[in-house]
Amino acid sequence: MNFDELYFVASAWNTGNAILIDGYDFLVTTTETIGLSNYALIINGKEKKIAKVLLADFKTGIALLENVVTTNSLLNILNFELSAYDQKSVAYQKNLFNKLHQLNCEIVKKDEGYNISTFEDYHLNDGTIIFGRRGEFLGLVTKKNEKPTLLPAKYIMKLLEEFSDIDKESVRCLNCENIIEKNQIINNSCPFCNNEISKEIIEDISPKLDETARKIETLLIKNDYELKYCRYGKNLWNISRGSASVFIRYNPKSKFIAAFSPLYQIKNNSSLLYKFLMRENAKLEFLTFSLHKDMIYLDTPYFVADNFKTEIADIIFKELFRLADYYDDVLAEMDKE
Amino acid sequence: MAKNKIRFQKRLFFKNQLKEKNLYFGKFSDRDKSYEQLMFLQEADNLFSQRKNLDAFEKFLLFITDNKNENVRFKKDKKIEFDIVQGSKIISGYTDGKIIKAETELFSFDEDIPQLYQILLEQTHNLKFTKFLVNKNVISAQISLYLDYCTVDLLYYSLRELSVISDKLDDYLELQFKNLRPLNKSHIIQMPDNEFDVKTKYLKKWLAKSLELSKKLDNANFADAKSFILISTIYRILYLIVPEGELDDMLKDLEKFFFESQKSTVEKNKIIEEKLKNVLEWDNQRLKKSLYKVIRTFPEKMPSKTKETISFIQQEIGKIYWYESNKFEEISRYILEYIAGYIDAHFGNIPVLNDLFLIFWQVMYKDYFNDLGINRLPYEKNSISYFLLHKNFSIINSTARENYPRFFFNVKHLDLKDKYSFAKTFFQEILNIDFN
Repeated sequence: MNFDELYFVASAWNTGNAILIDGYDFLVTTTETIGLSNYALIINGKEKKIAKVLLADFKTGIALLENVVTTNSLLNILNFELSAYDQKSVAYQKNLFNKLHQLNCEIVKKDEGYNISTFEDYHLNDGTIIFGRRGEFLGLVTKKNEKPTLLPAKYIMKLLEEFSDIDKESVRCLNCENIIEKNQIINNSCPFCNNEISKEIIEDISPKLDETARKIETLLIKNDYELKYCRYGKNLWNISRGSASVFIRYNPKSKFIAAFSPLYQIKNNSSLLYKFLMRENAKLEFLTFSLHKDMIYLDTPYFVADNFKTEIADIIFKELFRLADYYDDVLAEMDKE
Repeated sequence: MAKNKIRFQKRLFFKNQLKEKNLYFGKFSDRDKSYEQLMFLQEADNLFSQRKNLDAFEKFLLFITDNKNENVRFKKDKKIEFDIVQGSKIISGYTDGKIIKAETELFSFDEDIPQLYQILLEQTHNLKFTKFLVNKNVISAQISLYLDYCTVDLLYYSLRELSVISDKLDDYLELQFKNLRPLNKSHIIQMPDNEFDVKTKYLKKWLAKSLELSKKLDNANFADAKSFILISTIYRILYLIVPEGELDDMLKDLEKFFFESQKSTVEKNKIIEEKLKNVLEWDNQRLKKSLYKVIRTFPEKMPSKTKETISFIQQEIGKIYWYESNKFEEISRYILEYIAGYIDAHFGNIPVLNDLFLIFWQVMYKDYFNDLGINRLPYEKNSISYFLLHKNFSIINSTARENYPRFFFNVKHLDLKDKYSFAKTFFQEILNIDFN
C-alpha cells in the first residue's frame, strides 16, 4: 500500500496528516493539526497547496479541509467498527519528506478514550491513520498533551455525513452543538441558541511567536517568501526554490536554530556517494553533508537565539540554497546505475 | 555554565596527595574552575558583546586553561593559533577574529572504507557543529564558525562537541576497522609502573570476586541482584581505575546494553558475565593500551541539576531494604555502590557532590587507595575514623555554604561500625542536605 490518499499537512500551529475518504470531497484531519488557523498547507511531494478549513469541530476533534488535491486514490472504508479493545493495530503516517511509515501499535481503552502506544521508537503524528489487523479502518490519531489517542472512525463518518449537506465554511456551536455556516453568524452569536461563539473559532488566528521566531519570519518575508506557504507548525519553516527545499528549525527550549536541506535518497551507489560526500565536506566552508537512513542532507551549523544575526543567517541560508540546488542533481547523476 | 564567583577553595587535605601523584578518579569534570578562570569567562562574554572577537577568544582560552595540566596552548598576534588537549586527541585551530576553525586528525588509510564513512556521516547528522571529512588520505573532525554570531556558550559547546566526540570515537573506530592508522596520539602519558600494577591487580581482583558472587546466586530468583553486582562492578572500575581505550569502551557498551536491551535480565546478566570474564584473560600488553593517563579540557557530560541526583538516590535507595532484611547485606552494599557509580557516570555533578563521593569511595576501598600511595584516608588503625571524617566534611561544609547557605552534611548521622552501615547512612544523610 502506498497510501497516496494520505497527505502531509502543515498549519501555523502544527503538522500532521490528512486523508481523503471515498464518497466525500473533504480532506479529513484533526483540530490539533490545524489549531486556530482557517487554512492549512497540503503537501503532496514537492507540491504545496493552500486548503481552507471548512470545519474545525472542537467537540469531536475532527477538522475538514477543502479538497485541493487531484487524485483518483481515495481511502475505501469497508468496516469502521472498533470491534475489540486492547487491539493490536497498524498505523500509517507520512512525514514532512513525504515518506510513508508503517508502525505497529496497540490500542487500549481507558475511561477517557482509547490510548495508542507504539512498539517502536517513533512518534505518532496527528492525523495518522490506524487500521486493525483485519484491515478495518479504526480512526485517526489525535494528540492531547503529547499523548496519542484514537479518534474513532465512527465519529469521523458521522461528521462527514452531517457536514455533506452543508459543505461551506462552518463552525460548531459548543452550546447547542449545531453546525453553523460562518456567513450565518451575526455579532458572534449562534443563530440557533444565541450563545456567544468565540472569535477564536471564527477568525484566522496564528500562534504568538517569540522574538527569535519573529526574526526568522521577517527574514523570510524580506526574501519574498509568503509565510502561508512556509509555516510547518510553530517553529519549523520550509522554503523551496527550484528543486531545492530548505527547512529552518528553531527550538525555543535549547535556543538553537538550524537549517538543513534533504537532498537525495540513496538508491544504488552508496559507497561511491559516501566517498564523495566525505571529500566534499573538506571543501565546504560552513556547510556539512550528513546522512540519516539513506537520505543525504546538507546542513548549516547551529545558531544561538541570543545572538541570532539575520544578516549572517541570510548569507548562510542563501549559500545553503545555492549548493542544495547544485548538489541534488550531482548526487542523482552519481547514483545512476 | 555557572558564572558564580567562587572564592579560594580550601583543599581537602587528601586532594593534595592526589595532585602530587597525578591521580584522578571518576568522570572528568570542569566545574571546579578557579575564581580567576571565571573572571576570564566574564571578560570574554563582555568582549564578545562589543564584537572584539580576537580579544574575547583569548579570554575564552584562558578560561578553559588549567595551568597545571597544560591542556591549552596558544599564541596570539594578528590571529590566534591554539591547541586543546582532550584525552587521546589534540584539537588544533585558529581564528582571525572573523571565523574560527578547529580540527583534529583521526586516522590515515590506504584505501577508502565506505562502511566507516557511513558511520561518520550518520554521526554528523546527530551533531550540531562537528563534521567528519576526508582530505587526501586523512580522516578528520572539524568545526568552523563565524565569530560574529558566536557567544561564549556557543563557542564552549562547539569546541566541547568536537573534542569529546573525537576522543570518544577514535578508540572505538580503531578497534572496528583494523586498516586505520591512528594519528595524533603521541601526547598520551604512560602510567607509572607501580600505578599500572596496582590498577591491574585490583581490576582482576574485583572482577573475579564479583563474578564468583554472581555465579553463586540463582539466575532466575536473583536476576536483579546479579545485575546490581555486575553493573556496580563496572561502575567501580570506571570510577576508581579510570580506564581508557578498549576497556573503557567495552565497559560503557556493556552498561548501555544493560539499560537499553530488550532481552530479559537473565539473558543480559549472562552476556555481561561472559564479557567481564574475558577481561580476566587480558595480558599486560593489552591492558597497557587501556591504562594510560590523559589530559582533558572538556567534560563528557554537561552539568546537570542537583535535584536529578537527589531524585535518583531517593528512587533507588529503597531497593536495599529487602536484601538487608533477608540477610543479604553484601548485595545491599553492591546496590549502594551502584547508586554512587551511576551518579558519577550519568550526571554532571556540582564540585561538592564530587568531593562527597570521593570520600565515599575512599572509605569503601581504603586498601586500593593505600596501595596507590594515598595514606591520608579517614581511617585509624583499620577503623573508619569519625575524627578524620569530621575534618574532611567540615571543609566540604564550609566551602559548599558559599553557594548553598544551608548546606550541612552531619557526620554525626553516619554509622561507622562497618562499611555497609557507613554507605547506607552516607546516602541517607545526602538526602537531608538542603541544596537551596
